[in-house]
Amino acid sequence: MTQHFLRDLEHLKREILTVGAMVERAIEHATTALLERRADLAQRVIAGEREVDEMEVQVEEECLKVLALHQPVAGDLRFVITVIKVNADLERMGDHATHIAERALALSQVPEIPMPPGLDLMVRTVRQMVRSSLDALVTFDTAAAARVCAEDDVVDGCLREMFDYLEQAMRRDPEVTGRALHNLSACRNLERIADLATNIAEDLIFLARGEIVRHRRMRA
Amino acid sequence: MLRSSFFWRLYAGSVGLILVALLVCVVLSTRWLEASAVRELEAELTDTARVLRELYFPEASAGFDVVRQEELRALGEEISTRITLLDAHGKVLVDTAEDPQAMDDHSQRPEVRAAREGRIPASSVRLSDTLAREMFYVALPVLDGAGELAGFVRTARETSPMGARLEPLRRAAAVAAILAALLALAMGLPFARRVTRALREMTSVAESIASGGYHERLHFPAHGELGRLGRAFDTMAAELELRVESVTTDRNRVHAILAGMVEGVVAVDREELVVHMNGVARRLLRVGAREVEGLKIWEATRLPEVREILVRSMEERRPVQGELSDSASEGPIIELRAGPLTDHRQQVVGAVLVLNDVTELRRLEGMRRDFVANVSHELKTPLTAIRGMIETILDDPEMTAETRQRFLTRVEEQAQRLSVLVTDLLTLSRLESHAPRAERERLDLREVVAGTLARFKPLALSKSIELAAQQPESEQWVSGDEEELRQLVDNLVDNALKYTPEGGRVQLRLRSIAPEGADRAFARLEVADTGIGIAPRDRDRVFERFYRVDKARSRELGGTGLGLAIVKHVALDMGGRVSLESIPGAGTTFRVDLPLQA
Repeated sequence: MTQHFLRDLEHLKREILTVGAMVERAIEHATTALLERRADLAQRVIAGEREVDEMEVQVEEECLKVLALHQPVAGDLRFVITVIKVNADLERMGDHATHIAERALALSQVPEIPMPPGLDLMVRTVRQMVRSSLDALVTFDTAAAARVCAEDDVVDGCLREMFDYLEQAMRRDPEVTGRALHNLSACRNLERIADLATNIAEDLIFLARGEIVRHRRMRA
Repeated sequence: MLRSSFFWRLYAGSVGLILVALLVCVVLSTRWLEASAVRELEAELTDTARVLRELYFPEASAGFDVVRQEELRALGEEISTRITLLDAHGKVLVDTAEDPQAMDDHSQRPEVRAAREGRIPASSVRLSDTLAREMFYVALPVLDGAGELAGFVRTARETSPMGARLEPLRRAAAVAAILAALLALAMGLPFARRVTRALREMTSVAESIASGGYHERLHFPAHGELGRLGRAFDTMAAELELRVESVTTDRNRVHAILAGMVEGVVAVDREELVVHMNGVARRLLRVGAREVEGLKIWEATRLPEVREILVRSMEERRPVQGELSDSASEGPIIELRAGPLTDHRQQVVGAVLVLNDVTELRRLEGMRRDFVANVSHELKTPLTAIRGMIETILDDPEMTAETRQRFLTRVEEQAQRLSVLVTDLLTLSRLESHAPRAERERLDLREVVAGTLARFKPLALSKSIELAAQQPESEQWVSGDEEELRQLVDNLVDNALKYTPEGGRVQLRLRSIAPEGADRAFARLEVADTGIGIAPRDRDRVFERFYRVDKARSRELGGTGLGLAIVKHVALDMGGRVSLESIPGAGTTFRVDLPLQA
């Protein structure tokens, strides 16, 4: 195991965590923009997407370079593969965050409608899931990663509640339909972020234990 | 112990050495004994030969007669010696053991040859052809009157008696050797065991110290080299313990200092590994209780600014400043200051980062900026109006007295407004500077309340607002400045009336309360209105200077924006507190608690 190899692995780890931090921040800003009708934050997220995408391309190229140059085996190979997978997941998370920001921007420019009551909880849970799954990449805590997977059910429940609430709202007052649809779209994207956080957690379990855990349970 | 190779080596070595020495001793001594016995035999035989040479030889050469031969034989038997007389050619003339006729030429026998050559002693040991036993031979030459060789006298004896005589000596030596060996074996054991045990004890104590038991010591006997070694070892261990304690104490002290600081401190080494992170830093960076020492800084926290600033300060070798603007809305504002750490050779060995929570500072700075802006604006508005009107008057000498009167009235109103503003500002400034009160008197709050009520009755009436007060039976003595207290109650009632629509109600209520946990009683004044209320997000801020919920409306109503700030400061100055409850659209209740004097 040469110096260069070690250094490259370390660099890779740092880069993927940096991307994670950027996406985490984007999610936080996008959801805050949604909850507090902050156009400025929403725009910041939308403007920042490009930087995140560029960084993700960079990470992928790094991974391929490491594979080609060093031909790692066993644990190191699993690590590089995990980085590639996590990178892809983070990229999609970033996209979803941008979509949420776009919806938030749209909503901030029209008269306010009351937020669905479960939205607060959903945002908090999703933020926590993202944070935990990224933390687990550092600590290799498979127990924490498993908990992230479990929390996904909470988020799914929130989404269903939100759906019902908005559907009723639209029925009561068709005027709010446009805004309610923005809201619904934002929530959908939030739920997808939760799923991707679960993916990252599963990727980590693979890395730590060498077993693939996804698709074990059928989604209800 | 028995498994110790060192023990066996020591034991086997020393015992082996002893055994070898014993062996050498025994062998040498028996050899010497043998040699000595041989020499003795040789001397005896030589003496016998000499005697015989004198006595018998002349006769023998002439032909020994039988009688003489018998005599010789008897003699030989008596002294257990075989006697042989040879002529100069080696032919056997007489022999006490065999018939001379039957014996062959002896000239080549070793002892004979030696005698011929003149060697003294001339002896040899060999197996006798004739007798089939080992014999010791000595030969002496016989010289005639002319000095010429005339013949030889040879004496001989069996060696076996000699051997038999040596036997007990040899046995004794062997027994002694065996005894000595056993003794060595027996005594070597405790010796080896003592040395080995000392070694093992030292090893075990050293190992235990190495794994942290710094207080362990040897207990060697006091004497000798081992004793010295033991003492030296113990001294070293004690020294080590002191050093470790000292280092630990130092380290704990540093940690305690770092833990007691208000700022967060993070130290990293050149490889970006966390060397230390104190509690405040953990909180500000939201790291929690995780073990972070030894992790890379970017593993410990994902905030990119932290790593960037540390790396930059190490690269640029100078202090660097930055800021953590974590989230746009939530989260504290944290100022970052990083500096490189160098060793005595000016090499960069790491960096240290100090985190400062400047949220409050920034907020106050913001407030100050707002305040200055507000004051400027508040002062400018009436002044601009005054100047405008004065200019108009000056520019128009044709103006009618009536118009002029109207204008001047308005100037007076504005001037009055300015005056009120300046007075309020001064009051507030005085309150905030906590200047010592000269005018502290004992006042009955009920009177103050009654006074305010009387003053504001006309205004309330004009707006059809019901204004009433519920006063307690007993006096409510407080200690304070009369003017300030009056202003306090006035401001509260003024606000209430201002923000309550027509037909509403403003109710004052004064009573004593004894709050739980407090060591004195308070006078509680509540001013409750049925006005427009205050939204939750404004509730914390209404007591700020110039804070207005609805700017346009408040200024219109003639407020300075300082009323509630004055209320708060008067109350705080007297050791009391203020609070409010409000339901937007329904009404607001302001509450002031002031400490009661006996």
